[in-house]
Amino acid sequence: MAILETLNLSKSFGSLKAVAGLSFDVKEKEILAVVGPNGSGKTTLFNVISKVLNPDDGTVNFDGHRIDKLPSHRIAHLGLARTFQVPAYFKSMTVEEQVRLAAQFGGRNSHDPSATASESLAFVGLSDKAKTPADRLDIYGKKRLMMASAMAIKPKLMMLDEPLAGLNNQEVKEELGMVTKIRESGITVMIIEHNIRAIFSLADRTIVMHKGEKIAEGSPPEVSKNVQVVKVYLGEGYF
Amino acid sequence: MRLISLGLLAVPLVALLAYPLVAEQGYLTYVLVLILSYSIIALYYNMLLGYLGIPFLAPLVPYAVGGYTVGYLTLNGWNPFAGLLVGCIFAAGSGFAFSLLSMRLRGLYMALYSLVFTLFFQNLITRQDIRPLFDIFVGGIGQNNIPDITLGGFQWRLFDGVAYYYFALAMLVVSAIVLKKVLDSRFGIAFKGVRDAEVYAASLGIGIFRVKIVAFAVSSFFIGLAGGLLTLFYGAIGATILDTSNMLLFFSMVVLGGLGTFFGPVAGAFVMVPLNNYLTEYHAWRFLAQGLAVLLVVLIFPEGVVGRLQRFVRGRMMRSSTGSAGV
Amino acid sequence: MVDSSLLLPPLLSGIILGSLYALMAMGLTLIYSTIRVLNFAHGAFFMAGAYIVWWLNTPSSALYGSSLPTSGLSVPLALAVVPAVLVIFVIGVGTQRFLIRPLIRKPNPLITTLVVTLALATMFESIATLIFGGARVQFASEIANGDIRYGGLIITYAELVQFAVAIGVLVLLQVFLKRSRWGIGMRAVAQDLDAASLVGINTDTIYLLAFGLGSALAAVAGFLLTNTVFLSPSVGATPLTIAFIVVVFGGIGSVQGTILASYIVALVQQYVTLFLDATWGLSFAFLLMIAILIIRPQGLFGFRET
Repeated sequence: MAILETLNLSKSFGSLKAVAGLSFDVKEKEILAVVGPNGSGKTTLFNVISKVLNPDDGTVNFDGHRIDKLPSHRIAHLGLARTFQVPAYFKSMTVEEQVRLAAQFGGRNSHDPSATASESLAFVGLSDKAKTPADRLDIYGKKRLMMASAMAIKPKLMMLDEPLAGLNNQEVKEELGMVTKIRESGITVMIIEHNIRAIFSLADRTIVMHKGEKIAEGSPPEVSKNVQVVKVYLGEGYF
Repeated sequence: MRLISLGLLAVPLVALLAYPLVAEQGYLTYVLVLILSYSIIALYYNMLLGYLGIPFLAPLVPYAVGGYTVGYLTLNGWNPFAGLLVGCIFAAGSGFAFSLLSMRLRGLYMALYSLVFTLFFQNLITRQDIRPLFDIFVGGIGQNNIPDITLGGFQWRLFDGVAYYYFALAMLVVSAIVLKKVLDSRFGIAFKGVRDAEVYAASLGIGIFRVKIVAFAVSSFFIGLAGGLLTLFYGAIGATILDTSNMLLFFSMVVLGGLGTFFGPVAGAFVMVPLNNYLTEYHAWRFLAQGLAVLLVVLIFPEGVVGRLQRFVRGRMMRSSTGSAGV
Repeated sequence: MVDSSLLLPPLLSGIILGSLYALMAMGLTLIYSTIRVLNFAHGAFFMAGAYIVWWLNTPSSALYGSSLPTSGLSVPLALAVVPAVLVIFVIGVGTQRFLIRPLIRKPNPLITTLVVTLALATMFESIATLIFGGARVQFASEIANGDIRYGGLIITYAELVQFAVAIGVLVLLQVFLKRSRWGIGMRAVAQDLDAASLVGINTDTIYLLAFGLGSALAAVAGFLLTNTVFLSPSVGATPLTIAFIVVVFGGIGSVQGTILASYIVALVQQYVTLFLDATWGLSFAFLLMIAILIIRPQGLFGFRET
């Protein structure tokens, strides 16, 4: 069963086709990795699905709803959460306030935002920082705060945009554990990542993007053997 | 904590209530009516400027809409209070309409758009050649001889307008309470999210447009209330109300007091309005002094006087609390 | 139907006026795109520059039957512009150094710098009123005398000079931005602040220069525009409004957008004046901007604010 499905999804910036007629789906409860070189359109794909940007063309279906015409917040209400590459947070709020806000506005059937907030904070291990102002956290802290906020909306699908970027080895290990935990709690995960070795150890399936198009799809071992993929990455030393 | 702040509030409130009883009336009463009314504006302009972080430069429009509506209706025999209510509703409508027209604008585009919107509005109401507009706004002359509020045979403008003084005070208290309620509500929390990171807030489920539309309508309602109240008090309103100097006054009250602080803008009104009125006879010197005052205060306290004070108090409290915990 | 021979003069005057608007608006754009500050005092600099030229140029106040201060030096206009532009350049640099720089890294820079430049504009206007009085004054002479007539068309030499100087300054500015070390630095800062500081561009100096240059452009525009009309302490208000419209219309930070929008706004104004009357000119410019922003929130060529 696919929880998310795109058909012929496109987005251009001037003459640059960032996402070029992309069709793919995300199966329920899987971890899908989206990889590709810089500028291949991965983040734009996320932005178009979550309606940070409007798609030029194509459709997106999520959990039985067509979402490509809905505004961002309605998509969140349906249960699609996302994180951002550069940590996003509310600088005038404490950690707890931000997560509670997410529970209050995005939380589906969340009768008790405070309880949801503390659950989410415990989930990412930020409970001890609840009263800290969000902007005092380090990068890893901010990333976990972003993840806690996403968890607080009780999503069905979570889209993670480069969750490992800027983290040290220990933090990477923790973060990967967290992704596994998210999936174990029944949430489907779609993940953009540059650290391919790390993400392939986790993903059930992979899509490789290049110049806005899907050039390969399959299980991580299959994809790593794909000639086209190797060509795209050649010289970047990933394999 | 709550009791202390309520206690602190009671002092100026009692002083303001008692003032007409203990002091002789005169120009000060007149200025105080202005201060109290402008405080309402400051509170609600700050809602957009400070709490939502929208660089909105057209607060003069709902002010004028409120004022002209009350003026027009009372000139046509309406009860002033009914006129005032309709004025507020029209003002809210103007804010609502503006927010719909400007929904996709950000940052500087919003600032310039709203500014030009104000100038366009002024341009429109001073026109002599559009008959229906002239009938309402009376062009460059403006509305005059607007009837006074008369209650039980008592005319409010008598005795230096002390009746208006109490009315404005009551309206200020009501406005402040409503604002407090709004800020503590779901909407108030959403304001902060929208201000800090709009796109992110939307991705967490906040309906940005709805939040902004409501904010514009509510804030315009109360700015219109102040406009209507002062129009009844003056008995006149003209297009000069939309001048840039008035814009500076609106703007500087909020910024000097402290963007996004609750009482900062009121403090700003208590400083800027007298500065504006007591120096009127000095003409150009007045604007020079005003400009200089704004310049200096903003440079010394970029986060506003009350904002700076709050940070200072918070810093002290944090230090003392961590100190007692032995950290 | 309007006689077709009537359609040409507004085209000419629109092109001349559009060039002056472009000069004014480019200053604003230059400052905004590098420093991210909206200079409300731009109209005041326009006015101040014009008054300095007027003061240097006017032979004696007896001309006006009043006691307005004049230098009595009768400096030729072409010469008097130089010190005026220099003074406004220095004032611009000072504004950046002492008013903008302290605020730019503090909270709410957009709003605090708006208030400060608005306050500065108010101060300039009151200072001009205190020195020169509130009444309108005129230049003793226009920058050039005589005119060219061709059929029904009349172009004065003064208009030609206005046009030539405006275009000349705009071209020089482009050359400066494209070729000189400082100009390239300025464009780099406008495009990407972090990258620019990484490659060792001194952003503080760039900011000072940008503010100075932008203000100087206002002074040139101020002299050129008021020379053929009149001068008063509030004379900068309308050009400032038009510059705002132009900048937003063309797209903040876009050079070609700013220039194109200047001509569109000027032409719309001129033709509306022809068909209705002068008071409608500005109204239509307003409407045009409001309409554009509803369709394209980033202006014609602008980038999106995030």
